[in-house]
Amino acid sequence: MRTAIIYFVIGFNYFVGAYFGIMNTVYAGLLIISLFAILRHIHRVKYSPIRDFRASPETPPVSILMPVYNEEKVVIRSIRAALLIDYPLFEVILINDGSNDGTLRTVIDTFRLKKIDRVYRNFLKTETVRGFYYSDETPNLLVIDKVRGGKADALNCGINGSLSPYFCSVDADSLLEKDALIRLMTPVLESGVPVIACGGVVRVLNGVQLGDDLTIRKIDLPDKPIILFQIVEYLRGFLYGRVGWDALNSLLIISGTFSLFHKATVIEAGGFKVGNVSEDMEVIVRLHKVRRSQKKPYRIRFISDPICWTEVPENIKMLARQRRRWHLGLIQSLFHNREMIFNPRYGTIGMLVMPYYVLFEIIGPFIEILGYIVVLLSYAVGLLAVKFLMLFITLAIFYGIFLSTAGIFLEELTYRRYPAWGHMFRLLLYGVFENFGYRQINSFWRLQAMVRYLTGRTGWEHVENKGSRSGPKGEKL
Amino acid sequence: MLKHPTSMHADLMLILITTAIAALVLLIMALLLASIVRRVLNDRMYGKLDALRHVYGRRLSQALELEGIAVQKEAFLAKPGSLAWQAVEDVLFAVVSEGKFADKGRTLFQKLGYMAFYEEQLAGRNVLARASAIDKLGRMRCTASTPKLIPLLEEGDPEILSVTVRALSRIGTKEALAAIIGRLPDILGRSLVTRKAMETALLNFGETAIPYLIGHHWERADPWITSCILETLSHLAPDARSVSLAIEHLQSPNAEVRSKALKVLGRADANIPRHLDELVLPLLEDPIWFVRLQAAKSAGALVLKATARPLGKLLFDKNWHVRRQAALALTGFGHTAIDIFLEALSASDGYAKESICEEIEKAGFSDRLIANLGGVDGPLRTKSRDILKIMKGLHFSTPLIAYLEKGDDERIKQEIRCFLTDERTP
Repeated sequence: MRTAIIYFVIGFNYFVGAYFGIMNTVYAGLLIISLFAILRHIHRVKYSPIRDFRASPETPPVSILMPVYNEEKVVIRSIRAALLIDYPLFEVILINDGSNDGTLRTVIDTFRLKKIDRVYRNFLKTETVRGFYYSDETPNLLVIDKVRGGKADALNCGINGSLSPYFCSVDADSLLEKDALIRLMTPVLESGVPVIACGGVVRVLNGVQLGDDLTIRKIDLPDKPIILFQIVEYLRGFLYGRVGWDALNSLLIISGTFSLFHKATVIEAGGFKVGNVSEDMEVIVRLHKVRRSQKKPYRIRFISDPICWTEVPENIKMLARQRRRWHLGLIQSLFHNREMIFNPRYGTIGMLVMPYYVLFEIIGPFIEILGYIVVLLSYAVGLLAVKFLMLFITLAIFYGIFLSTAGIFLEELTYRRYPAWGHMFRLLLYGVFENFGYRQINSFWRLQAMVRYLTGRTGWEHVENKGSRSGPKGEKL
Repeated sequence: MLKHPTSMHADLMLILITTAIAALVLLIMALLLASIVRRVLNDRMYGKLDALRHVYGRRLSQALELEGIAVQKEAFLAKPGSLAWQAVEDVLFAVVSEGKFADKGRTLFQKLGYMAFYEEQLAGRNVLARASAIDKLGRMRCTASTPKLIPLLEEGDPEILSVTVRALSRIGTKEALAAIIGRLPDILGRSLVTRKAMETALLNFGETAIPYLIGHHWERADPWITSCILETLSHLAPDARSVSLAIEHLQSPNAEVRSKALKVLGRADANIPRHLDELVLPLLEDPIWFVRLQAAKSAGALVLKATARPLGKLLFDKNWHVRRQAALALTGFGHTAIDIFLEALSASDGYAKESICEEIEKAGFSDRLIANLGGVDGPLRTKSRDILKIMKGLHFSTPLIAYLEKGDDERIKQEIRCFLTDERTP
């Protein structure tokens, strides 16, 4: 038995060495690619024809789909911000997914909507629609009230109700920058290959002050460490993770908080998958699958412009729910489409990106927790060299700090949305702190999500917003 | 992290891990330092730039008001690439885009050497730098740059080509327009990107483009070019010459061209030829759905009464876009449409009937029908009531209920109550 444990411990050590090496090489590769891609993008933006696109006949109409469930506190702010965006032709479709608070009543009263009858075709099967609300005072706002069916179902309902060739999914707790949509549409207009989906950078809204016109008035950092950790994470994830994958045309995730989709392609792919807790991720995987099966050229793009601000959880309980849901969604998305993994028919997505996500993103937390157990086993069988253990932990921590610092550096190099000196130093500091506890607890939540997936507990965990403190009067969120 | 069998092995591992940690520490320090240095430099640079913009802005506005630019040119001279150079450039861009002193701003760009500087960069190899220089020349709107930019229309790189087209369209000279139109087939055929850039850029020329767009000999042109020309014309102010060109192309064998020609006609307003009904009528039966759609749209926009009946037929078109558009067009025809709607709503096609009801409701035509219930014209009242009854039967009764709640005329309310409770409603 002892011999078996010894062999296992030794084998696991070599495995972890290789695993750690490959994973960090991929990260480093993505970082280098992102650096060049972002710098190029920043230069190109200077002569980008965004202003011309506002008047161009080539700019297609877009439906902004905003599914809401019990978002009474934030829904008006979000609708107003969406209606204020600078885009030639758009409609906002709010889908009330069976809210049982005052969401629908608030919207009806605020915008003086009246119930209308509308032809509704169930291209994508959804829960029953209870009514449509419209006002000629705000002709580009339509509210669909439906029986609760989840976010994916609500988005499908919005797609059925949309009349535009493109739609854009927006979370009700987010705030769009005025030129967000036109920026997001730019890759579609500038590409020779059909762009079927496009996502942009999402920033943390907590701590931001808004002006009366719902534009960002002042960016500040909140006091709560839990939010600061998330800001560092967002910078890292958006500025080099996704930019890097985009440069390789291998993007597997674009945030559902604010993403643009080609409607016909999404309908062709069957719409958003009801029952998946991370429908935005799953639909991207399926879009790849459909287009690659058809051997049709396409692009799924990510732009590094900061365009959308969203509220993040402010307490451990909500953060845990959100992270479990994200990880569960990732597992569901990949396993629902598992025939793509290591299938050459799906090119780099099947041969490189999906295996990467399975090996390093899904199994990662399991390996990490297993690592802690193996350390104990090594100690038990007398194999543990404390000196090496400490060095290995130090190496892992420094690599984590390096990645966070790199994310903050990319922000500094490019958009610099956190202007004060104090902002930069605090973020750098939290880039260090997150390696002591925050990363580990994240791994634990992800492991929990794995266990939930394996035990069939795959329900949606609702994350409440702190929108009660938000508003258009410049108060701190 | 395990004990190693040999000390050599252990030493090697120790060296490797320690080296990796040291490298990481160095990298972190380098990134940290780079962030700090960059921020310090940026703060200093932008602080100075803001101050310089302020100084030059004030100086320039004084100079412009006094009209003494030629004398005071020296006050704005700066070394290319310097902060002062950039500040003056920013200030001048603002002047050029504001309009009042745009000409003077352009002259200053030329005299201060900006134009020459960016023209020199056109010969470089770096695509980003070249594209940026082209864009700046376009934003300067210096007509003298036109000859330097026109040769770039021959470029193979779609990015350079797109930026050049846009820059020339901003300058807006006749030479620039003629050069673009002369190369239209090549630019449109190059790639989708250049085609999109072209369609966007042509609008920047505004009405001055119309004679050029029309005057060119397009008879033998590729249909794509003709449709691009017509599309551009459809976004410019209605013009008798545009209408003539559109009429010429109504019979084009290419569906895209026919559709764009209809689009131009749809905006014709005062310039509508008398026989336009006859020209549009056959296109309402076009085999291609988007031509029928555009024909319905134009017929509705121009309220071509002769098209009312054919539009009624389109209420049963196989394409739902066409059906909706026909219904929407008819709502603008007033009482003429009532008979047509009534006929259509008596048919058996459920999908078509729903589309009609929705458009009647959305366009506010249902309010007109409800108002007719209180009118003195007996037949009109009957027909309106019949339509509303059918709508109610198809679950489009919200306007009726809304009138009951908020309407004023008790007679109309009574009538509504009658057929809302009528079980025999179809």
